[in-house]
Amino acid sequence: MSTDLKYILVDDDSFNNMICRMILEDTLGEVEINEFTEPEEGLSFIRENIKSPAVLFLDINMPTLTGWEFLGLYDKFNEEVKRHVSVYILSSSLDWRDMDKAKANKYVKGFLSKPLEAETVISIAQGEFQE
Amino acid sequence: MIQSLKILHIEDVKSDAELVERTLRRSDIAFENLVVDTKEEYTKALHEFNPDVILSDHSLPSFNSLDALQILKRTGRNIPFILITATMSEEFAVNVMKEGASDYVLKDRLQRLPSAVINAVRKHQLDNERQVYLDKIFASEELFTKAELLAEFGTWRLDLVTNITNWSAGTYKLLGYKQGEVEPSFENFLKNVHPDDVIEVKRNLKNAFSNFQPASGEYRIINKDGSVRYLYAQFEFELNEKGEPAHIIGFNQDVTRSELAKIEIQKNIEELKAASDRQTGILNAMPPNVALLNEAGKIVAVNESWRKFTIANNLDVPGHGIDFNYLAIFEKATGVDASAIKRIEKGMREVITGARNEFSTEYSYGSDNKEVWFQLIVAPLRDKAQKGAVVLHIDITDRKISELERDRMTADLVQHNTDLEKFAYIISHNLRAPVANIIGASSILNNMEVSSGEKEKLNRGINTSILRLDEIINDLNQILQIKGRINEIKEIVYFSELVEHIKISIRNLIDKDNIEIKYDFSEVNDFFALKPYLYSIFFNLISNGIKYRRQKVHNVIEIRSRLLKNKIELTFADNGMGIDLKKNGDQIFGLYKRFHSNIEGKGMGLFMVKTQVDTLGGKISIKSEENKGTEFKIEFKI
Repeated sequence: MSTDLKYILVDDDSFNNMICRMILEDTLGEVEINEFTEPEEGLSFIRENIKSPAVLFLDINMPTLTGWEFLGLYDKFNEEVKRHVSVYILSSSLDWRDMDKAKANKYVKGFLSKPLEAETVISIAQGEFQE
Repeated sequence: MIQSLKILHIEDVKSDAELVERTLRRSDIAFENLVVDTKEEYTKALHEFNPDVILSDHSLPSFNSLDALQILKRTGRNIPFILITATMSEEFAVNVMKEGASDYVLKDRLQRLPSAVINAVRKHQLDNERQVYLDKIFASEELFTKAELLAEFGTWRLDLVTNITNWSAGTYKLLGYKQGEVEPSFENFLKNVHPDDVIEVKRNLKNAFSNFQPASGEYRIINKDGSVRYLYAQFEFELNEKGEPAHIIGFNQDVTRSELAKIEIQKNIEELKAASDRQTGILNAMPPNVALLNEAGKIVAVNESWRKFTIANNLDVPGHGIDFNYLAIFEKATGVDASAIKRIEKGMREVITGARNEFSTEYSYGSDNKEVWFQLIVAPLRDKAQKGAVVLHIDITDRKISELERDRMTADLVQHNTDLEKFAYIISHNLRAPVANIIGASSILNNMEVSSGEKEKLNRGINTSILRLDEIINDLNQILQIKGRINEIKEIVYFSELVEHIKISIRNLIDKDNIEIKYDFSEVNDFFALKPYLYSIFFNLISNGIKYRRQKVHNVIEIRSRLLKNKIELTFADNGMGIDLKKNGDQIFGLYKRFHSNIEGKGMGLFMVKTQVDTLGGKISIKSEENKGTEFKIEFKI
């Protein structure tokens, strides 16, 4: 089990972030988890601090910046940074349009429906995630 | 003076023959003499001797004088024949004369013979001359009659002294009689004159008698078979040496053929005119404006609708455009756009030149603040005489308006449908979010070891999520109620009342943040609408202004109404924090759209405002600049 993966949570819903943190910790033990309810903060964290592999769980519906807008800004980041980050959309949406949009985005590795589940966490951590 | 006569003498007694010759020799008569005594000799002599006169004894051994006369007659020749006989009864003499003898002379009175011969020859010569003369007359009369019949004319003559009328053969025929069938008279003439013409004929004649001047006229004759002929009549007076009228000479010409031709032509003209009138009538009865164009595109005829149209639209062209180029007039009609003119010009040319069979297009025409729509149809006009086109303009404004209305309604429906879809998406998404949280939290509570502190947080989170669910369901209910209340009763709503009411209900907020609310409804203060909607719109926009106020400035919300041409315009302006519309403009009125994470709100207010404005048939727009303020503008049609 890879323990050197960092986890980043970007969602304006702090309760969801808390649920994610508890599931990640329970499943993976001690891991670095960075929570952001302001997507702008999440973005600057990634740009400044990511120098090793990381997993990003990104919400879509946020008031100041949507997940898609987030990815639009992320696109301009240094390739060196982006190389480390595996982006997963974590949304309460069940809409096929959102799923299609996620699939079409080159940075998105997967579309996950809330709530985050332990099995998904394990397969991502082992690099075996399949939709 | 008689030339030398050839005398053929029939006599069998030589002494008698010599006696006759001697008698004649003694007279002045120069002659040569041939005596025959048989039938054969006689017949031969008639041909070869060719006598001027024949003298004949009555009785010969082989034939007699009557036989000789018969033979002469059979030759067809007319030669004086004098009988010389010894004795003769009166009765016999008469008989011989009847048979054709010219004279007779008794043998014992031969001294009368020379004068008898001379008389007979002279008489015969005169008869011959008369006959030739008569023959000539007969021939010329025959010719005249033939001419009359061929040329269909006739002459007549009335002797005013004896009152005797003469009709030529042609006249008989023209008047409908066989030659000689009736006595030529005015009465018999009138019998066959068409009853409608009798008075006129009589009047003409009477006029002529008043001044003895030549006259002419036309009248009709009815034939026995009922057919009618037209005669042209001329007549004039012949005066005697005292200058008094002696005769009337008249001339009639059959002019039936030319008269019938004239009538036929007149009839044709009338039929043509009737047909033309009918077509004009049809054209005039047609509601579309119709113009006929010639090959050059010039207007040659228009119908009544066209004339009315040019008058109603002040198209200042003489003769309603006849003789003018159609396109020139069309271009003169202001309000027809140039591309339509170009299109029509092309189509029209193609129809006139035969490149296409028909051209049809629709165009609009702006006249006196109202838009009129026309369908224009150009069809070829190809009669034998000229090429060209028929142009029809059909007023399709009503249809067009309903089409545009239908398009607008369709667009509204599509918009409505898209809104509904968005609405369903947002609702499902927002319902799903707390549900997912509840599932996640309860799964942790069920399957993991958690500290009491964490457990409490989870329970609190579950509780918040449940409240959130309830809230969303309430919102949903509220939204659905708006859409469902469209049929509620409208009333007159006063804007100033609404604002005062809202100011009281949120007084603590206003006071707390020292917000100034100003309004100016001097132009219009009332609106006929659903009051709860209008209240909600005002409430949400005012609360919005308060919620997004700017720190450290004196916050003012200004509300103003304006009465425009056919609408009311309401503006809600604040000097609050504003919003970056470049980034969020298209989502500003979306459900659960929030643009400030540090200010409480669930993204319902503006969505509600928009929904209610839409439901009232209005439009809402926003202008905003960050750190300057926001202005909402609402327009309602009145």
